[in-house]
Amino acid sequence: MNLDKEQLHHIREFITQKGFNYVDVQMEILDHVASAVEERMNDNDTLSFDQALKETHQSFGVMGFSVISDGIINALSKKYSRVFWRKFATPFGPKYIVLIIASLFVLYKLQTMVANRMQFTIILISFIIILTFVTTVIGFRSRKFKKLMSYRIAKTYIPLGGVFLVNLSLYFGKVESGSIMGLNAYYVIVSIIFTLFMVYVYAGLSTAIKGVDESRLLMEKYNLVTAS
Amino acid sequence: MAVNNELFKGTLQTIILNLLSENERMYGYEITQKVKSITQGELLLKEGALYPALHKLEGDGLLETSTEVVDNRVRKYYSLSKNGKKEVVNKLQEAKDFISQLQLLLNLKPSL
Repeated sequence: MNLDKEQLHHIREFITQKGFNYVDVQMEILDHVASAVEERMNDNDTLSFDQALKETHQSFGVMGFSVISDGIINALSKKYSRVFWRKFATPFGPKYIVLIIASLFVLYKLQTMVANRMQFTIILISFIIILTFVTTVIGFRSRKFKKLMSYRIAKTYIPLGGVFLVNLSLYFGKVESGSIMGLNAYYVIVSIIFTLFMVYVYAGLSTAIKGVDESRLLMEKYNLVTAS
Repeated sequence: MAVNNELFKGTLQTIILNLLSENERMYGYEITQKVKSITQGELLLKEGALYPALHKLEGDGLLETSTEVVDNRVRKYYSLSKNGKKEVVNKLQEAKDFISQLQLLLNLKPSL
């Protein structure tokens, strides 16, 4: 026998009561528990649904459903970490390295061309504000996925881009310095940090977008099975 | 006589990879049942052992997942990734080598 929608809803409520609220975590627990309950009830005609559910939960041992939940979080963290670092490394490969060199050159040249240091700082801050706006809009538009662990993990990389900005701020407004191969050291450092920041934002956004896409697919299936 | 489950924990990842190489794709509960059926109930793969191993393999990029709506619920299927297909060969060889060493150590090798 297969469990009906009401019984599946009961199991979902049971999982939620145990503190497992993320949709993707719930879905894997639910399918395992439902399969086990069905088998127990098929093997023993006199076993009630509640008793089968209780026995199934007990079979998970002292750690309960957290054996599934912890595993999912761990796997998703590793998965999106791999996605992020692959994206981060891509621009440094042979295909796009010219863009990185061009970015370093343009940023350095821009600093030498802008007479007033403050003007350059304003240009950079404007750029950062635009990026912040874009990430905020993406975050707002995908807020419906906040109940999915995959989405929450995929978007964790974006805020860490602030580390580059903190480092960048240390060199803002500094003109006089030593030199690196005849080049102004501060200009070189600002060019490198800002280029890395842009690559970081690209990798962070790409990872978040992948998380949103996967969450959307999962949410569609979830809505399908929970629709009354 | 039931086999001590502690003995097969070290080869759990190999068992999962091998099952998936033979069955293309499986879901969590199905894996526990398959182990039970192959070993005629001698080995019971508990949830507490299966899922950490399964998710570790997924996190390491050896398994891929897909989801499907089955019987009014969403089912997550595991299958071997490209790297997983390569790794299963290595893991099986490692297990075979280990078993032959174990046979020597425990004097289990059948006499000629």
